[in-house]
Amino acid sequence: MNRKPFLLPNYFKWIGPAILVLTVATIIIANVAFDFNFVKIIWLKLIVKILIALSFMLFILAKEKVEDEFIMQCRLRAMAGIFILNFFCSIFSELTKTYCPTFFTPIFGSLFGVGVFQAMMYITTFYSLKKGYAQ
Amino acid sequence: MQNNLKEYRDAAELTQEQLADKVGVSRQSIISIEKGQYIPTTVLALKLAKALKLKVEDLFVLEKGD
Repeated sequence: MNRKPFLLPNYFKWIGPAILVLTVATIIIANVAFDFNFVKIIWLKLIVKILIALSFMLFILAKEKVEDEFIMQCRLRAMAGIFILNFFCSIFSELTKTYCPTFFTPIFGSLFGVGVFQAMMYITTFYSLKKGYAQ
Repeated sequence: MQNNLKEYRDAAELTQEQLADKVGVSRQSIISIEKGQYIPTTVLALKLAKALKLKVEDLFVLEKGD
């Protein structure tokens, strides 16, 4: 019998994005309505980053409605793609930090930025494979 | 590998959803197999053949390059 990887129940597909939406909404409302900037307070900024990362991970690790071998293969291929992308991200990160510190550094200059970018790329790749847009 | 899943599924008058339910996979899996985008494992191939009352070799045929 095949070993199945650890995955969260399907309802986390909703909990993850809900956390992301609530976090972003809170930042926007606090900024617009109360003129409160999260970025200025280090521990709040950290919490926001953790919540954003957590929301992506919950979405990625949640099971599909029907978790079969095809889905597992899509998952595996998307993971493999992101593993390769990680090498290019690392090189790009070093290059931007050195030669173009103001433009790409907010995204590729930090592990958090790279992590979120990779999570988004994973989600895009996985659903492209699942829906048959990519082979 | 060539597969005749769509032809035999149509002959059995089953929708993709019905066949997917019979073998316990998602409809997307059946679509991908029919399009030739995904080659199923032996277990799933056997399940599909059983659901359509066929032999695996009726459903899946090796091509020259395989």
